[in-house]
Amino acid sequence: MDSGKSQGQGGRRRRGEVTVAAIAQLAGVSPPTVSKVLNGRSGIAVQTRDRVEALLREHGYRRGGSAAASPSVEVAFYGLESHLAMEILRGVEQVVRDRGLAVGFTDLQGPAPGGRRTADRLLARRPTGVIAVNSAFRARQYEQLTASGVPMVVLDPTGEPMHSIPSVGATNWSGGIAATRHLLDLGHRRVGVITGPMEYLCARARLEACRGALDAAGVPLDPVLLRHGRFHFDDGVLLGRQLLSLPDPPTAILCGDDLQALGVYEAARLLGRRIPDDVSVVGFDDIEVTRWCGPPMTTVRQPFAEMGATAARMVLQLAVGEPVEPGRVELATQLVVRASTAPPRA
Amino acid sequence: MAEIAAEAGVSVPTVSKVLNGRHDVAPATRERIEELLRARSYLPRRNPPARTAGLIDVVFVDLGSAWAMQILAGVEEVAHRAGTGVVVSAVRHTPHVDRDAERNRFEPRGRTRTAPDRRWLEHLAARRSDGVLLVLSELAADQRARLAELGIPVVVVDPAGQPDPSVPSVGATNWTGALTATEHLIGLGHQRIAVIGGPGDVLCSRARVDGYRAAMHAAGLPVPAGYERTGDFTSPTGHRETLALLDLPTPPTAVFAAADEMARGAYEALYERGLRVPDDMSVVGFDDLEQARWSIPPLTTVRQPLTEMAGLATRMLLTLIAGEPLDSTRLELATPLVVRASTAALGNISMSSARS
Repeated sequence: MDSGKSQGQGGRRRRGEVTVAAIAQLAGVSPPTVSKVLNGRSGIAVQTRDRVEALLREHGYRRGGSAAASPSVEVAFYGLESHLAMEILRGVEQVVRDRGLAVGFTDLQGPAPGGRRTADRLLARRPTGVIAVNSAFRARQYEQLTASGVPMVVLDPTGEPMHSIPSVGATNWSGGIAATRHLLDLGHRRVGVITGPMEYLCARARLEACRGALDAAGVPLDPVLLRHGRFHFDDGVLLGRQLLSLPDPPTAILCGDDLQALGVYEAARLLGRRIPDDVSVVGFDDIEVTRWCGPPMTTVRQPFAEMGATAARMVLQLAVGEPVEPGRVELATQLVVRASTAPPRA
Repeated sequence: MAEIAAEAGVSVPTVSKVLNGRHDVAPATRERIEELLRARSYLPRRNPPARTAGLIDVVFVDLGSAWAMQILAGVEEVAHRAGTGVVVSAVRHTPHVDRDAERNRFEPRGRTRTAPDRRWLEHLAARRSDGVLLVLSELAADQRARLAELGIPVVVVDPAGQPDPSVPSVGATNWTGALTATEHLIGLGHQRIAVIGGPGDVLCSRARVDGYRAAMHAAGLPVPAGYERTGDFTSPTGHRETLALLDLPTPPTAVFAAADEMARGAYEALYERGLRVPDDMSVVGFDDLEQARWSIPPLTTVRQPLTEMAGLATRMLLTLIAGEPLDSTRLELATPLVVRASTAALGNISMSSARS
């Protein structure tokens, strides 16, 4: 299987591509030191590692043939809500399994054992490819992963594309438009909005879409009816309570995600209001429990499993040396109308 | 070492990696080097140092099940600290397992046992794995023999409560949990208490129904005809069976659903009939999936500690991988009751519903 001709880090590579030896020379270190950096091994001074990684990135180092790579696609999460993570993983698994590869699962949020950097552990297994599910990934983590030359695709449900890396997302803005138009079509004119954290692009995109659709309908968003919270059930309860307790409460509430919307359901229950009779509620994501929450929730579906499958196909394509075009793919979101929305009471 | 490196066409550090039993060397390269090392008596001919793949496999029946993530979180946490990677695979139901077409149609997601297909084991053998954690799947005899032959240990995370005595496993105290749930309802003054169990051929489901019966019996309460219902752990069956309970001449005032997902179905049925939880009926679940907290109202349920069960099973697996014996091959973790807002005292409901 192994030709035995070009060992170390090489494998066969096309002419003109940078080698480990060349990087070593540029960095003024030995080739084994470069290999250690590539393989995420310990025992290298931080400055040396940084220098080598910078050169690897600068010269666009790519691993040679896949002979030495472990036959797996690693999915690296960083503190993502688990109800979304599993759907993503399911989509990845379906694609990757068909190629006879294993699916690795890593949560980079925990402390690294033995003082090794979080991503090193993952690189030490030399996976065929990495899918980084971006919730709170930092630029530094991307740098580590890309410097290793392992094919990588970013799946970012929160909507923060890193332009240098191929990525998969969903159409948050269009979803926000569809949800708002649905409420307008039902006759709502006093729409309350609970958003996710404004540092997430997806939360901004949904809010701006809603604002735009309301403006276009001639019923601009009343600042009194706007609340910001985390993507948590508890925030939905708290903020939903605030909105429903206003002297002139909204007739409908558009939420940043399904958990917030479920929180609004709970707030309505506690205040003795009925959904959709007293207030319409719209979520975002379409997690499974929305079908069973009495009344079933109208929400905007994000195709998490499909997003995982798409990211997997992209990373496998990169792994065999094919470029991925375009560099950013956004899958369509879709409004799912169930029973939590109705015309406002006359 | 330099000679061997030259002969193998690799660098000196690569040879030293092989000597030190590091696993970041390609298998083919490693074998070639080991061959040379053996030839020069660097390595003992027999019992070469145990190599590890640095990976353990977690096998689910279906990754879509609501509790897969809680299990995976437990595995990952323990494996992470041990510096071991986690590989996830999902196996599908195979025809010989689901003989019953009806059952196939209402496939309980991730709740019934099934054997991984052939390809799974071939892939696993090809890439090596240090150990296998099975979640609600079981191995065919030949698969077990093959893993034993490969020297790969197996531990079962067993929420279905049907331990295979030949394989180490971690389960939960299903009977005690159900007893506690029913006693909680009795303690609130309920007398007409129904149960919605899972499939009769799944042991955890029988244990939960038995726990319910034991509590009723101990309190001297009758179980009227029609009060014991059978679902399959999924929301649609919880919904269906709750409607059937509401159609009884004397419906219950409280229901114990042997799975959170069935409790969710019960909520939906009550909602459809214009009834309120807990004002018109108290509902208790079993599992404490994270959705239980997001139920409207938040669900009182028996907590099955899936993350802890998975973490413990992973520790057992790592012990076996290290070649050490286990203290015990079957462990069951406690199932405490988590009281939230879906249960209320009979005749005292207005107070409870006013509680925030």
